[in-house]
Amino acid sequence: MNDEKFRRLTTLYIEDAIEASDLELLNRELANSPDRVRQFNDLRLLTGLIKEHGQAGNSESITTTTPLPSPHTVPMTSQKELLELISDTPSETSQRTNVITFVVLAAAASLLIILSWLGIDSPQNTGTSPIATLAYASHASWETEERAVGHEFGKGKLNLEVGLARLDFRNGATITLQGPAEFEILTADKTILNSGILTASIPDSAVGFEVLTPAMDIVDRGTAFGVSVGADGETDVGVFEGEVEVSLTDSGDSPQLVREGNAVRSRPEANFIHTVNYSTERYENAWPVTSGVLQATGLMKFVSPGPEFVPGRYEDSERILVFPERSQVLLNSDLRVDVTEPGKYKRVRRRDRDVLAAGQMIRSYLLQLNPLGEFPRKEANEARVIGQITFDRPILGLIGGTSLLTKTDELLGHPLGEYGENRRGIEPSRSDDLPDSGRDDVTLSQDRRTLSLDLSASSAIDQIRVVVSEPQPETMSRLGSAKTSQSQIE
Amino acid sequence: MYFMDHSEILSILMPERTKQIALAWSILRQSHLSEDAYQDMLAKVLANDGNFEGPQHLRDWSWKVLRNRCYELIRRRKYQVTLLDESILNLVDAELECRDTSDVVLRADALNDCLEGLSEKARETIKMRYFEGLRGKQVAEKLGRKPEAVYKALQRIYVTLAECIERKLAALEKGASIS
Repeated sequence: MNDEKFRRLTTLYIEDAIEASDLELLNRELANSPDRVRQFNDLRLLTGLIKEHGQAGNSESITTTTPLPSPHTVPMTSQKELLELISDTPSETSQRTNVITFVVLAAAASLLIILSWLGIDSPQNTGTSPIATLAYASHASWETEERAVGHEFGKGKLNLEVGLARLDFRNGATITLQGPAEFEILTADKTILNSGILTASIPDSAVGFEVLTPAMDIVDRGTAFGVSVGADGETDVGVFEGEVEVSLTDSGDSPQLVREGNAVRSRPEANFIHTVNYSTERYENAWPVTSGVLQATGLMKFVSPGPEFVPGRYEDSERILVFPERSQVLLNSDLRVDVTEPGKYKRVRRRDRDVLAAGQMIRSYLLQLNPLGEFPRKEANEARVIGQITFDRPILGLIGGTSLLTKTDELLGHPLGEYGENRRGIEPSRSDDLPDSGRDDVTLSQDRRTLSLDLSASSAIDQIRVVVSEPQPETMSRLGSAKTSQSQIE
Repeated sequence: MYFMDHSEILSILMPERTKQIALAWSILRQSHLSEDAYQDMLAKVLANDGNFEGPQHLRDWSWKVLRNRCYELIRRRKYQVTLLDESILNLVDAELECRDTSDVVLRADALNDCLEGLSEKARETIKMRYFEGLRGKQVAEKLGRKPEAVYKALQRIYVTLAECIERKLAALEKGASIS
C-alpha cells in the first residue's frame, strides 16, 4: 500500500466512513508495520490537537460569524498555560507565572466543582448533610408530618399516604414517589421501597443507585426506570432508558441485566425473576414529574417512557405530544433560539433571533402535533389542538423554526430520535394578522414555567423545542467547567 | 499508596490531554461525546485520589478508564462506529500512550498559525467538523458536496497542516519565531 492510499484509508477510518474491505486492509497494514502505526497515530494526534487547540487561535479567523469570543477558549487557554508550566518552556516570565498560578488554582477549583456537580463527595462534605430535598409535591399527604417543598431528608422512613412527591438527591438522582408508598432512605445511594410506585432518573453521577424491594434488589447502571411494589410485595421493574441489574432479595445470585424497553417481575421468596411485557401505564403519573413536567392539561400528552416513545418513532394525530429530549447539557457556546421573553410567540426576522448565553446548564423537550393526513389551511374545519404545560424550572427559550430545529437536533434532540427532513416547526402569528387567522398560538407565562399552545393542524409537522434551565452552581457557569456539549449553533 | 492532591493529579494528566482527546475522538468520532468521555475519566480519577501508587500508576489508570468509558458510551448509546480489530486497537493505542508530547505547546501555536494559512473553504470545513459537531456527511450536505469530496478535502487538509506544523517547528529550532 502506498502512502497516499494509507492516508486515505486512515482519514476514512477517522471519519467513520471506511468500507469493510478497506478496514481489513488497514488492519493488515497496521499489524505488519510499526511505521504505519506511527503514521496512523500522527493523524490521530493531529485531530486531537485541532480538537483541543484549534479553536482558541481561530476565534477570529474561523468563527467570523460569531461576534463574541467563545467561552470555550477559556479552558483551552488554561490548559495551554498549564502545559507551559509543566513543560518548563523557555518562554515563561515571572508575570506569566502569576497567571499560571491563578490558572492552576482555577482549574483545580473547577474540577472540584465538577466533582461536586457529579455528586462525588469530598471528605468535608460527608457526614450529617441532608441526602435529598422535596422538590415537588402534588396532593401529597404524609403519615407523620406535613412536609413543604424544600424539606430536606436524611436517613429514615417516609410514608406517603397519597399524592405525588419528587425527591431530588444530592448526587443527582431524582425519585418520584406515588402514594400510597412506604419508602426509606438508607444512604445517599441506597433506598428501600416496601410498597407503592416510584420512577427514577439516575444520571451518570449517581450510577450504582440501589432500590431494595421485598422481592428484588435493583441496582441502576445509569438509567431511568420505574418500580412498583404491591401490598403483597410483588415487584415489577420497567426500564425506560439504559439498563439496571436486578437480583432476588437476599439470594446471593448473580444479578440479571434488564435493558431499556424491558420489564421483569418477582415475588418475595420466589426462586425466579420473570420477564413480563413492557408496560408503562402504572408509571404515567409519576414519570412526567421525574422528567421535569409538573402538569400537562388539555390535549397534551406526556409520552410514555421507553425507547419506542421518541420523536420519529411515536405519533399521535390528536394530541400534542411532549418528548423529553436531553438533560444536563452545558452550553459551551451561545445558542440561537426564536424566543426568550414571556408573552405571545410572534414571528421574528432571522436577524432578530435571541441567543441563550454560553455557560448555562439546560435540558430540552420537544412538543409535537403531527396530524394524520393533510389539513389545508384556511378551511373552516381546520383541526385545532389546545393544551398547557408547566415545567419545574424556568423556560429559557423556544425554538419553532425549521432551520433552528434542525440545527439544534444534534445538541438538544433525543439520542434515539429520528427527526427526518420534513418541514417542521410552528407558524406563529404575525403582527398584521387578523383574529382567528389560523396561525399557531404559543404563549409563555410571565413566570416562564407555563407554556400555552393553540396549534392548528396543517400538512407540516407542528414542533416546538422548549429549552429549560437546569440547576447549576453559580460558580460552575462562571468557570465554564462541567460536562459539556460542544456543538456550536449559529 | 499515597494521597495526591487534585492540582498534582491535574499537572500529571495535563501533558496527556491532547493524546487522550485524540484517543477519545478517534474512537467516538463526535466532538461532544469525546469531551464527555474525557471529563468523565477526569472525574473518576479525582474521585480516587487516594488510590494511586504514583504518577505512572495514575497515568496508566487514566488511559484504561478513558478507553473503557469510550466503549461504554458506544454500548449505551447504541450507535454504530467502525473500529479496527481489537488486537490492532491495542497496538496503536499503546503506541499513542507512549508518545512524547512535551512539545505540544509549540505544536498548538504552530497549528493556529497553520490554520490561518488554510483557504476559507478548508477553514470552514474544519470549523464544521470539529467545532460545530457535524459529521462528515452533514458537512457535505451543508456545503452542497458529496461526502467523498469532503473526506478527500479533510485528507488534504490534514497533510497540509501536518507539513506546515513540522516546517514551523523546524524553523523554530533554527531560531525563528513560530509565526
